[in-house]
Parts: sequence; C-alpha cells; structure tokens
Amino acid sequence: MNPLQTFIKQLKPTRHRKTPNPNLPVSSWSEQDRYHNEIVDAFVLILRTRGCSWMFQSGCSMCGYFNDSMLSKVTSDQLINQYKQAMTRYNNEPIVKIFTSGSFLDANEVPEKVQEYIFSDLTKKTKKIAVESRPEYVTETSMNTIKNQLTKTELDIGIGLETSQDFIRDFAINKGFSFEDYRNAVTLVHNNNFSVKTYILIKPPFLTEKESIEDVKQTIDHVLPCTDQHDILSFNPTSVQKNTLVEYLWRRKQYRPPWLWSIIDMLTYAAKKQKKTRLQCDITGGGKKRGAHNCFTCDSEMLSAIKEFSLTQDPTIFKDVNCDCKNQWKDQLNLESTSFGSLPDVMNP
Amino acid sequence: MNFQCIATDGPSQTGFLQIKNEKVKTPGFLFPAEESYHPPSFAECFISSSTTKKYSPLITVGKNIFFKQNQQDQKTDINNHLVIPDALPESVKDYLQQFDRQQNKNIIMLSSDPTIASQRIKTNESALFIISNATQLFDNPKKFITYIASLREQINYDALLYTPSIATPETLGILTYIGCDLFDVTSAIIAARNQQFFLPQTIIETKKIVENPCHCPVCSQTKKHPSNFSFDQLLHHNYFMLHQELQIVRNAIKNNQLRDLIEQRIRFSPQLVTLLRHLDESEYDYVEKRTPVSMPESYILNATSRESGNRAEIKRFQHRVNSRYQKPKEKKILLLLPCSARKPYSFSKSHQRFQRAISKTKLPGVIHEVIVTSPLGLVPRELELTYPASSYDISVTGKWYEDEKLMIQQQLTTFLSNNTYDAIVSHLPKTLVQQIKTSEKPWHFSLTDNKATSKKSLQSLTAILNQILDRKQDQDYTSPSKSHQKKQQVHEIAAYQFGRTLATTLLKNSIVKGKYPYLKIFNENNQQLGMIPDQRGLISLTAEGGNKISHLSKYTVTIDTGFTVKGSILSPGVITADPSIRRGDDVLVNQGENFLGVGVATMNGSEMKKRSYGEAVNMRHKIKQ
Repeated sequence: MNPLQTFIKQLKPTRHRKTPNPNLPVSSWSEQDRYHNEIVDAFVLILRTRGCSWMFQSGCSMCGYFNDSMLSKVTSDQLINQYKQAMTRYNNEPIVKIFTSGSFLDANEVPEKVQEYIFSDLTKKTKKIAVESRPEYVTETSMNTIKNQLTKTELDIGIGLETSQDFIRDFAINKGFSFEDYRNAVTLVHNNNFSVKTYILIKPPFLTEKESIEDVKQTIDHVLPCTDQHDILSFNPTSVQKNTLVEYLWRRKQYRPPWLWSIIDMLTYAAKKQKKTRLQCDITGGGKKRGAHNCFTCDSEMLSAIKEFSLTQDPTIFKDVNCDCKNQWKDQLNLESTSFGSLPDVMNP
Repeated sequence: MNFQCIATDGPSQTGFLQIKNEKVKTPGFLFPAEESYHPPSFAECFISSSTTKKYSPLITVGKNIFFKQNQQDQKTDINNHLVIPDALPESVKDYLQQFDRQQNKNIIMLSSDPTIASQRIKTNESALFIISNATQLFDNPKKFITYIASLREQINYDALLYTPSIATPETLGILTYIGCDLFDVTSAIIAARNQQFFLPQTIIETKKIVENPCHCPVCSQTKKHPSNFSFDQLLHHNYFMLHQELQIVRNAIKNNQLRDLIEQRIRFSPQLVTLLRHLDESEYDYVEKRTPVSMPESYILNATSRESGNRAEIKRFQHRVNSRYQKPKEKKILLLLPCSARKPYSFSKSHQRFQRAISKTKLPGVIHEVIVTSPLGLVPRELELTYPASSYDISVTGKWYEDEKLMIQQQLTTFLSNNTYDAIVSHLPKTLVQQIKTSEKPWHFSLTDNKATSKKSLQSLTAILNQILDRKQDQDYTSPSKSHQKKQQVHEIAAYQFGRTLATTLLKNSIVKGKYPYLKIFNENNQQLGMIPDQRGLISLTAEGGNKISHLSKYTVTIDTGFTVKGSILSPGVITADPSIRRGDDVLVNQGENFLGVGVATMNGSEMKKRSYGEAVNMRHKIKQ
C-alpha cells in the first residue's frame, strides 16, 4: 500500500460502535425509473453485507458506503433473511435494484448460493434486475451462471468506472482497476445480452471544478462508444461521506462538492453527444452542504430540473433555469486553477 | 525572467520583474486575463490558464498532471504540476510530491509543506515561486511566517514569491513586509460578488455604508449609493482600492516607512497582529539580517504601538549593548538619567542641564551617564549617536507600563552583570525606580521632586554625586582627560559597530580630536582613520582606517579581480562577504588578496552573494596604490 492508500484506510473505522442487526437490510424503498421508454416504479433494496472487498484493502477516496456494511462476517442465511425482510414491502415493481455497498457479484461479499437464491426468486417476480459490481467479478463464469439463473429477466450491471482516465482513477480515486478492465467487463456483459450502467464520478478530490468538468467530458467521449441502446450512463456527483478522504479535506475547507451548474453543463454536453445511451443523474445529498450544491437558494429548482432530465433526456429544460450564483460558479472556473489550491470554494473563501 | 531590485525596507523589496520584453513593477498584482473581469488600465501583469494574446505581460498556467499535455501546453509557464492539499499528513504529501512533474525553470509552484518545498528549491534556481495553498497557510499565522521566512532564507534575494488569493487592502502591506512580492485580485472579485466594498483598512458591506468616503474614478463619477453599484462598478472600485494600497506600499518601501504603515494597517485584525508578532519574535534573525544599521538623517523610528518595541533594530541595539558594549574602565559611578524628546539626548536642554550638574562635581570623569528609556531600555551616553538611539520617538505621558518596566529591569540586570560600578545614582522618577531596581547595592536617589530638571533636583544630583565621591576618596579615582574620554566614546561606538576586536585594533595608538559629535580618529602619523558624521552615528572609515583593521577579516567583502572598481561594487562581482554585514555598515573591500578600500554596504553580507543585480557596496575611499 502506498501512503495515500494507507491514509484512506486509516480514516475508516474497523468496527461499528453499535453492531447493526445482520438479519435486517440497510434500507428499501420504491422510486421512479425508466423501463425502455416508460416511466415505471422501481424497488430498491440495500443489503448489509460484510463490505466491499476493495474497501478492506484500502478503498476509494470518496466512498463511505462501508459505513452501511457490517464490517464483519454476514452469513448466507442472514443475507437471505435480509432479502426476505425487504421483499415483504415489494409491490410488484417491474424493476428491482439490489445494492450492497460493494459488489453483488463478489462471492466473498454475497456467496454464490445467496446470489442464486435472489436471482432465481426475482426472475419469477420482476422484469428487470439491477446490481452493481466491480469489473473483476464480471467473468465468463459468473455471467454464464447468472444467465442460467435468469430465464426471462433483464439484468443491468452497474460498474463504477468513475473516469476514463486511468491516472485520475488511480491517483485521485484509488479505484484499483483500469479502463481496460472496465471495457473487458462491458464486452462480457454485452455478450450475455445484459446491459451496463456506467457510473461516472463528478469531481474527485485533487481536481478543481473546471478540471472535473473536463474530466467528465473526456470520459463521456470515451465511454459512449462502448455502450449500446440498453445501457445507462449514470453521473454521480461526489458527496461528502463519513470517514473518507473527501470528508477529511472538506472538513479542512480543501474540498467542495461540485456545483449543480457543473452538472448541468456536463449533462448538456452528454445529451448533445449521445445517440442512444440513457443518461441519468442521481444526486446524493443534493442541495446540502455535503452534497452537490449551488447557492442553496436555487438548489431545489436545479435539482428538479436535473431529475426531470434524467426521466425525459431533454436538455432544453436547463435553458429555463437561472440564478445569480451562476456568476460565482464562473468565478470558480476562472479563478480556481490559477489559485493553486487557495480557492477551493469562492462562496466560502 | 529576472528581477531588478530598486529598494528594500526590512524583508520587503520593490523593483522590476522582467517578463520577456516587458517590465512589471513589484510588489504587484496579477490580474486574471479574462474579458469578464474587465482588467483596468492600471493592470500591470496578468495570469491565465488560457494563452490569450490580448493581455500582456502574461503568466500562463497550463495543464496539471491529471491531463495530457499538447504542444501548446508545453509552452505555458507552469504545467505538469500537482497541487497537494495542505491538510494531508506529512507522509502522504511526501509520497504525492513525486507525481509533480514541473519542468519550467523560471517559475515553480511550491508545495505548502516546508520540507517538500526545501527539497524542490535545492535543484531549482527559479525567478518566481508560486506558493500553493496560500490561503490555508495564511490561516495559520505561525505556519505562514515560518514558511515564508525559511523559504526566503533558502532562495535568492532576487527570487520573487507569489501568494495567490490572500491579498486585500488590509493584508497587502504586511504580506509585502514579510517578503511576498506578487499577489492577485481574487479578493476584489469575490468581494464585488458579495456586495462588499473595499476601504483602505477594511472591507464593508455596501448596505452598511452611510456616506461613501471614496473618491476613486468609479465613486466620483456616480451619485449612486454603493449598494446600487453594478458588479463592474463595485469590482472597479475594489481594483482601485487594491491599486491605491499597492502604490502606498511601494512608496513606503522607498521611504523606509513600510513598518510604520503596517503597524497601522494590522490594527483591525487580531490575525494580522499575530502575524507580525510571530515575525518579530520567531523570525528575528530573518528580519534583523534585512534591517539596516543606520538610516537617513530624516528618519524617525516612531514607536507608537506595542509591536514597535519588537522591531529588529531595537532588539539588535539591546543585544549589542549587552554583548558588544563595555563601559570605560575609569567610569565608577553609574548615573541613570531619563531620556529626552530631542535626539541625540545631549543636544536637549534637559541633558545639557544634567551635564552641567555633573561637571560641577569633583570628578565628572568617573561618572557614567546611562539613559533609561522605552523601548530601547538602556542607552550608554557613548552610543547616543547610533541608530535607533539617535532617532526614535515615543508617546510620553509620564506613566510607565508594566511591560516597559519589565523590559528595562531585564536590560538593567544584564547591564549590571556585565559592568561593575561602585555606586548607582538614579535621577529617575521614584515610581519607575521602585520597579526596576534589581542590584543588591544601595541606590542613591537624586530627584527631590518629580521634575528631573528642577533646580532643586539638579542641585541634589551634584550634591549626592559629591557625597559618593567623598566617601570613595581612598579608591584613587582619576578623571580621564577630555581627549581620552573622546577616544573611549569612539572606541565604544566602534565596538558597537564592528565588535570589540576590530574596535581595539582600530583605536590602538590613535588620537581622537574634534568637537562632539564630529569626532575624528587619527593615527600616530596624523593620518585620519575615520570620523563620526552625525547623520550616521557610526564610524566612517578612511582607506587608512580600513587598512589598519583589514587583516582581521571581519566586515570584509572580497570581490573578483577581473574589473576596475569605480563608485560602486555590484553584487555579481562579490565572491565572499562576511554574513554579519548589514545594510548601512562600513565594510572593508578586498580585491582578491589585496585590500582595496572602504565603502558602505547597500546589501547585507549574505544578500551580496545571493543577489544577481544591484549595488552591493558604495565605495567611499580607495587605498592609494
């Protein structure tokens, strides 16, 4: 481990102060999403696994999902109990998303028998399943196995690429895999007629606001050719999550979550470039100081425009939104790079 | 890219930075080369992350390590850099530094970590250093001071420091004083966005302005209240305020007034006061080295604040009194006198009266006059001509503050442990004496009322001194001759100036003549060795004087043999220079092995070696070959 990785790891607690109940899921809810060209309800459930394997090694600079993980062993039976518990609230939504704060396809996190149990159960109940996984768990074997389990249900595999730039992913995010790994995984997924949801991170630490826009635009250019009409590009603005490097810097006024203006700029760019791939942007903690935000006055308007865009894919909605803080955002873009770290946030200098 | 220094004041400097064919005055501002910020006509230099041709001179910032560089990017002034957040632990910053791949030799961005910055400097003789995370450093006054002072000590004197984002009208002066040279106008832009109006010493919200006190072109051309100003108006007003302060600061440097200016400017901000106190207290050596030992005749050191007492020249004076000075051995009785408003003290009416009262005693030559004063502490009569004893001013109310008394007490304790007297007579107010009295020896008090110059007090002074002299009759006191006393005085000035070894060598077998204060030193062949012009208060050596002490190799500047010296010696010609040399010192110039003559240092000793431009020594006399 290099010293940055060691530091990222040190920021994490090794166990919880109060042990969560391993028989209960983290959370579950119903939300709107798109299924082909319809807007439908989707059921989301988050399993409390032992935690992401990469996180146990060192982990990503912005990711605080481990705060929801058990951080100790969770048995197969317990995971199945969690699933059953969550499914009591399932209301026949055509999409079911199962998140684990890690990789659903990682057998160390979700044992194969649990994966099989859930897939076999859901394939009877829903039209589409969405899970998330790091590319290393997307293998010929895993794809084949799943294909046999899912007889008629569509599967969407979310991969946190974050950026197409290996150096940024390595250095600023500490993601631990390459663009090449991602592309190979995408090919495997596509070969099995599954779809890919690519997560793109907006504003990793160490990058200025302007650089993060450039990074995302480059990434859009690089990722779109790898995707097809069933795939999704999901833009994830960094939020300040507990016990992360991002939080460490943010507490010391050396990191600011992205502006909503930047997100609108990126989405407008992506909308212009894409032909078939769906664009989506869920903003964790949007409009709050720990999440992507503008001046806190216009935030709710901007957030609903972004939400609207995710559903309609129509960027003209952004033409109607405005606020004086757009000038401050431009100041951020104009002045931050020539301040050499002195001006992480023009609103809070 | 190079810098030409025109004037210095303490650690600050003003001059010209040459960028390609253009000259930029420093201290100065870099304006963003962006149309939307409407750079004003007085903008002297620009910075941009794009390569615009519209604004010049321009410093261009290229892509950092996260992005691929194209050919255009390679031509920028700064590129392939990595800004490492200041808050990260040392080990992480150390590790990340390897990813910084800056190539440009002229301009280098430095880590805000002092250790990492030091390593970088070792291999880079750059003309301009950009301090990363300047805001975060500046938030911690102690850290900021240590960083800038240690950086300045490592780099060339001609190298410039650029501290982005932290300059305001209020901070500009002290930042310059500390040793920063270039700033940006970010504060003006952000303030304008937030409806904030710059005033010389503060920033005020426009809606809180009752009357607009400003007459800058923006404010004088409109009747609008500042709260109704457009962004551009407010921005331009703020630009004007920054520029005005910049010009005030540049003037102050040339007139040796920057210290006085910043002592005013920092008053509204405890953080800035902390900054100055840390500078004075923790970085004394850094400031002292850059503080002249003599000043122009018209210069007055106004000690008007608590911080004035910490000025390097005051501490240096105290230090030299403690370490270089010794009372003449014939002086047996210590007489403590109050100071006078007029300087040198002996030119004042009150001191002339004291001296008359002393002259009426039986043995005036054994009485040692030492003046008690704030903020200097003790000034032996022999040193009254030297700076800053010769030219300071202070508010006098008759009341002494505790910290002044404590300082005087400490000075007195040290002084009495270095200099032994048979008796101590105090002609000071009793209230002061009670506090500062330290010696075991009985003190005598000559003040009959509270006025040191009253007839009664003066008579009492003569009487008490005579009583003591009577009691000490068996001690075989001898009053030295007038000319011997003059020689002793010159000896002590020389000791204060050059240290005791050089002083003794210089004065050996010499004669001092002249009417005080214009004392002249002659050798046994009646050749003049030096004199004391009253405006300097230090000995100005002749070539013979220099020759007499040059073999001791102190206060020596050795220059290259490759050129003929006329009026001045420029720093590139200096090969070695005694680091104890200060600006204003008399120095001995050797060309190669040979003593060449004497002159006045216009740089300090280390500066002579670490500046590429400018006069190092102003030659006064060359020895006849």
